[in-house]
Amino acid sequence: MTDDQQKLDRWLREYELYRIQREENPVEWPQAGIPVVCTDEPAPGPGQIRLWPAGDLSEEPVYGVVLPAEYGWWWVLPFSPLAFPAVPEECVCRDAPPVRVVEGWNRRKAARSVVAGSWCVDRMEEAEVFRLRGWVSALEAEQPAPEVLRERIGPPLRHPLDPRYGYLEDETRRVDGCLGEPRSEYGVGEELCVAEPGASYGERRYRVGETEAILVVNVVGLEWNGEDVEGAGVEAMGEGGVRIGWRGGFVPLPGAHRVDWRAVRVGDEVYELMLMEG
Amino acid sequence: MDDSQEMEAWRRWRARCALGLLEAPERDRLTTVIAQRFRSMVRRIGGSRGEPLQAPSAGECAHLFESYCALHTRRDGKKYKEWLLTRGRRDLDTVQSGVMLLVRNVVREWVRDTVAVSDVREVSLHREWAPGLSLEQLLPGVETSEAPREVREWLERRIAEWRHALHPTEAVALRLRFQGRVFSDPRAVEEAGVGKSSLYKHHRRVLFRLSADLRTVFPDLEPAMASRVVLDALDRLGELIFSEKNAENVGSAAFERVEMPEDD
Repeated sequence: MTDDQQKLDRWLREYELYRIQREENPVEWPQAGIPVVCTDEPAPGPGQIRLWPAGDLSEEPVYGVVLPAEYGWWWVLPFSPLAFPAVPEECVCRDAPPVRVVEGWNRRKAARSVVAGSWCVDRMEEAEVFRLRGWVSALEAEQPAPEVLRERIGPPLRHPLDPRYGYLEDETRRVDGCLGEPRSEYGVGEELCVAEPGASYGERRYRVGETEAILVVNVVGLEWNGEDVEGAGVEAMGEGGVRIGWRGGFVPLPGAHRVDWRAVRVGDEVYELMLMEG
Repeated sequence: MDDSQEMEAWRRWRARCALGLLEAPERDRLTTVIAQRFRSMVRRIGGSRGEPLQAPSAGECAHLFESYCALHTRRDGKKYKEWLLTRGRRDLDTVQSGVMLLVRNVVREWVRDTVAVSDVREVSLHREWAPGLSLEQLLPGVETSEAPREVREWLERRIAEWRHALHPTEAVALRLRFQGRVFSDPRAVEEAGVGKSSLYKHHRRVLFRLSADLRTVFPDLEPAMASRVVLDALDRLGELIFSEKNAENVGSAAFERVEMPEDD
């Protein structure tokens, strides 16, 4: 048996137990939550381990370690409820419960207010933070994990029917329930280009798939890196029966002042966007 | 102790930091609540494994609960109590269901630490972890012998045909997996232009098609070998699509335009 097979066997045993627990002891969602204010908490800082208040649809507590991202945003890397890493994008950072395995694949950029709205429960050591940053950089660059971490990451995911896909879905939902869905869930395409010569600004209207809904996109200005980049921002809202959750514009990538929209996700459904004339 | 008294006991537990610092009636009540849930879960796990497990004493259950849930012994390491007592409606039912959620994780730790260590079940490559799928099929090892020559030759001939027949979303799914990227990764979803569920669906569809194709031509191939051949084929296709995309990017006019400085 290879090292990866042993890692997978160990994880699958843990997951089997986890699934039995969830199936045998379903817990009602709390619902109708009263907003929680986390008072007297330290301001967000690199390497803090934070705990988010329970969302209306969340189950186990969501712990995450935070690292600074660009332009005042923060990376939140959630911790897995399991003790072993499931995939190569998960890494064992600590040995003791309840926070051990960081879900690099489930990382998301969060506004400062989202991070500040949580409890600070611990801080990683500088060396731990350094190692974590190196790993996140590798993930961002789509490079393999640094050699020093190879023992700590999970086994490769190859088979399309691997039970780990179910876990990845569940974990995404769990963290979405607390932190909100990642902004880029809403999709990109090639319909709308802004901040390029010839692009037109102002309001654009899109038909949402085969539904009666219309998505209104308003191209507006946005301050970027200290300079006003004309047209590099959007506001959007849905009309006509489909509620489209829009998460406050986007952050353009340096050097690529281009925004493309082709699809929008509403719940589990993905709708194509069709530009309407006029 | 009635519901409002129990609720008050939970609040005092949060304020005083530990069960041991509560008055005896409150401490006993909360210990009982935790232990009941702990034991119920241990019983169910034992049932599912076909071997009864001996749960620890009530006091030990409560001790494990407090020690596993805390990150460390300082007060900020026990903020899970804030989480527990601010969930949802903040009533006793919600607190008790929250205790159940936390106890799940504690019991898993306990089972792993105490039971699994003495568990002598042999680690087997042939144990099924998904319907009809063993560990060896999920993740073929390097030691699995090479596919027979006729299978390899057939594969070589089929790769181009399979590539040609792929749906665009299937192609994106295969490329992302070749790159080792998780479909839930926001950037992966961004690139694909469809949701992760759609990526999973298309990825599986290719698997079924390739598997059926292989089974038709080589019905007697060992399951582990068949799995390896199909997974290798998926990788090959992913690599092929990845190379195609790289080649496209190099000559893309749009890419050049985006990189050009803007004229004011």
